[in-house]
Amino acid sequence: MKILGSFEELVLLAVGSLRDQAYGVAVKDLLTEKGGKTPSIGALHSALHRLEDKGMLDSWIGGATSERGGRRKKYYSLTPEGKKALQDAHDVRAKLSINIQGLKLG
Amino acid sequence: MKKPPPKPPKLAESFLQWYCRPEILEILQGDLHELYYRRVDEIGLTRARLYYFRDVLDNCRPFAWGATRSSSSNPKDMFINYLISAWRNISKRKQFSFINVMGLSIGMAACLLILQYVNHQKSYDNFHSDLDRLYRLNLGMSNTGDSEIIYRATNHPAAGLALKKDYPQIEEIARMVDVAIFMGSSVLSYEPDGGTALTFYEESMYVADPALLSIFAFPMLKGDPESALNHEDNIVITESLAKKYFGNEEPLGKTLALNGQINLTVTGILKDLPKNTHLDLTALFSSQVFSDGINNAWIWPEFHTYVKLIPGVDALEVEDQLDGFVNQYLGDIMREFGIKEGMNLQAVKDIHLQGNLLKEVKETGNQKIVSFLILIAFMILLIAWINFINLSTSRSIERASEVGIRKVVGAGKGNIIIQFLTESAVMNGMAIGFAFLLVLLVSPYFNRIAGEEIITGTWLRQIWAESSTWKAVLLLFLGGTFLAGLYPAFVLSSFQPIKTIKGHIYQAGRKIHFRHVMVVFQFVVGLSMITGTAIVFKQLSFMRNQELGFNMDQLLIVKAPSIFDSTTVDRTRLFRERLLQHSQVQQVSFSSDIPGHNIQNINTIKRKEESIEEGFFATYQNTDEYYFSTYEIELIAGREFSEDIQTDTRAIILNEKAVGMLGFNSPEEALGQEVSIKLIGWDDLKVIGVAKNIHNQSLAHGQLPIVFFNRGGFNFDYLNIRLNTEDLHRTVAMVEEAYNEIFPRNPVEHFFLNDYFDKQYQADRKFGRVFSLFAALAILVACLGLFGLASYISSLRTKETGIRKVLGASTTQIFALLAKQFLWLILVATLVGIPLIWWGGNQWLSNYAYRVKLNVWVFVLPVLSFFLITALIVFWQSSKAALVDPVQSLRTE
Repeated sequence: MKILGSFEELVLLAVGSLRDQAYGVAVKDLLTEKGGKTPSIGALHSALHRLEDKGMLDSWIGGATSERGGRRKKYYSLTPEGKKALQDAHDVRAKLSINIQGLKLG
Repeated sequence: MKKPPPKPPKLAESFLQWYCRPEILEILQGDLHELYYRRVDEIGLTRARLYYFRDVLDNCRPFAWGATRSSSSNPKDMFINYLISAWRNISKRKQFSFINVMGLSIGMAACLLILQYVNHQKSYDNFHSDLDRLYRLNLGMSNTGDSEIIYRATNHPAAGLALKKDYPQIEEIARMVDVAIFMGSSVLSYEPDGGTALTFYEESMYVADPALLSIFAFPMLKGDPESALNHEDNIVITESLAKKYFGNEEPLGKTLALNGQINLTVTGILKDLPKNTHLDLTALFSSQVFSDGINNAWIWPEFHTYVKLIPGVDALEVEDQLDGFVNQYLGDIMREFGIKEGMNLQAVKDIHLQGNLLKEVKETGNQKIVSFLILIAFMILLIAWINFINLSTSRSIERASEVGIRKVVGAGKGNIIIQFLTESAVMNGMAIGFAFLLVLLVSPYFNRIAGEEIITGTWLRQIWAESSTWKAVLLLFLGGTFLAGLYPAFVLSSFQPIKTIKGHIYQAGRKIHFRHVMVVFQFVVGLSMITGTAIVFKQLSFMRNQELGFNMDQLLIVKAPSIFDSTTVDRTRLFRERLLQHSQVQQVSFSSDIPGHNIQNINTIKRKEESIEEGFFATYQNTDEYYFSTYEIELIAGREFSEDIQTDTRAIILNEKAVGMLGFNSPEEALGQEVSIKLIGWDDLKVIGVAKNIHNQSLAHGQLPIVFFNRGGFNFDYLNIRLNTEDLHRTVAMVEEAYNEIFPRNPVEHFFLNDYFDKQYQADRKFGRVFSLFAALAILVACLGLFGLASYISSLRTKETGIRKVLGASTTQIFALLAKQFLWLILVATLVGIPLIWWGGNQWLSNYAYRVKLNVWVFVLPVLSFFLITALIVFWQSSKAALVDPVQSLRTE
């Protein structure tokens, strides 16, 4: 079982929920909006690369558009391994939280 | 349409582009731009730009860095590869590398030698504690009319005491006066119980205030520095003096006699003074012997006066008040004698290099020479660096294909530069090693010509022990590596791979290369140094071969007896008669001074009827009736002193210079006139004779006005004996014997005047020798470079000469062709160099009152020898190309 850092876990969740629209700025926006905190863009990129290196994310380069001066975007998606890692992380929490009264983890 | 917002800041953009690896640059930049433009709308341009900066910096993390660089070439491996290829290149072209490394190491060795010399000069007096508070109170004097103030290292006896009394900023003062001046002479003697007396002339003995021992804090081996000079019969001597008189006996408590009259008890033993101080002491007497009269005297400026300030006091602030101080105490005296005086404080640490005043304790150094040597060291180093640059760039063809291949394989310009710098570093490293060896090798010679132990056995250890020196060594290494290595590295790294591999890279052409300019520079420096040396030695021999106005040959000087009594005057007469009985002795006379001795007595003279303001400084000396015939000085008017004429004790003989300055139109006009020497209270001295001018100092100085007088009695310091003999040795022995018999208990000390006079040129000779050593080094390095360049260029033209020969060129024509370009460079160098040398030479010569005239001939020999050396080197090197069978040279590819 691979251990995920808490920021990595958030990034994986965000990428997963964005489906095929997960590129740097979009992930950052989602984390800002739903995650309740603003990650620095450097930390985010660094995490994305790291997760890709660990095999939890896959990526492809999008087509050139007129946006951003014609610069292409790099899109990420969850790999099965990434999904499993999220699942594992969730299970660990569930197991550990079971005896905490008044705490309900899905 | 809405105007598009300005682009993100350039600086941040280029930083991003610099660190970010190309594969992800587009993505990263895209994201950052998207955020940026959004923020421009949301929070405004300024803050968006700021955020953009922050984001760029934020993304500067390992994931974004230039992975190509680190993944495709491991820096450590590449560095090892550079080292290996540097070593291969160095060992492959042995001659080239040898010339380069040798040249560099000679240049570095010259620098190290001079560095050590300069350090030594700067080390003078820097070991005293509280150095920043130690000053010397100098006294300046001039005639009211004269503008030039002559400063001396000594002051009036009362000056130091008054300064301490009046100014609270002064913590302590100490005076010291030469015993020879204070007591008239300086002979020490020791009579051991039941043994024979030991008697010697001693130099550098001083009567000193007890505070001198606390101000300078020279280590004392025995005795108490606090009290050692508290009583008037105390004497503190150095270790070596104690050894001289007492051997291994306990020196403390022993009795020494001064001039056979005053008994003194040894109360302290000083460790011998180090050489690197402006002071020179062998014995100190207590200033308790000063009477109140002396302590209040404002008229005997012979006392070295040292001042220690209270911590935190600014010396300038004290100095500002000195004018008032001088006026307060010396105002009346200055008005009465028509002189002006002034005082200044000189930091003790500056005395050695910036002193050189009248009455210095010992010979001082010379800041100008120190700076000049630094310049020379730098020039030699520059020549060596130019060699390195020239040889490296001229070999660029050979290296060009190597560079081409490296570039094709993927090396960037930066890699190539680093590679060549590594090579340069290896060579400079080797050169430093050789330089150390060279310095150790030449150190005995260098110490000898410098006249001091400058490079000692522990020199190498000293270098690493002191941060200033090892930093200098590091600087030599880095300077050589980068300054000399950078240009070739840039030249070589900028070759374009396709061109170099195809082989068009470099055409010799006729255009002026940077290289030619540098060679001309080397020649100019080399030529200047040869010619400079020639000028120094020419001036020296000029000074030594001038007519001095008196005859120095076979003139034996014996110091006058210092232990005297009521019979001494009669004895001197007896001594003279005894010597004259010998046919080897032509004439004997007595005088208070001799030529070549530092001017001792200066005083204001004037015509009797003139006012004091019209007086001027002249030197004066006491002579007897035989002085002029002994020295063979020509009298151009009047007569010598005579024993038979009673009034001659109030008579004087002037030299032409004095006659002229007193305003007489002719020597004859001066005869019978009355002159006064105010300061010693002689008012009506009648001129009875006029002597030709003589050089009684080295020819660096002008001739001075001199007053000779004859006061009778015995006020002489020297016995002058004119000899005429084949056998100097036996005659001197005879003189010694007569002296010992007639002046018993007096040590006999004698020397020949020409040796003594010549000592004045010692510093010049030393300078000449040091200069020629470095000139030789500079030329050696320049020749090495020339040799390398000539050999390389002729090898380049092997094929060309082959073709020329096939087409019928003679060997001579080939030589001429190859030598032409170098001779042309020398010609340019000569044209540039001559005015430079002319100017510099005249600058140096302006230090001398009498100097050689520079003419074309000074240059002929150096220029010719330079041409000859170059021609020889080029001839030697080009003979390979010129003599080789064209079949051979054309067949090789």
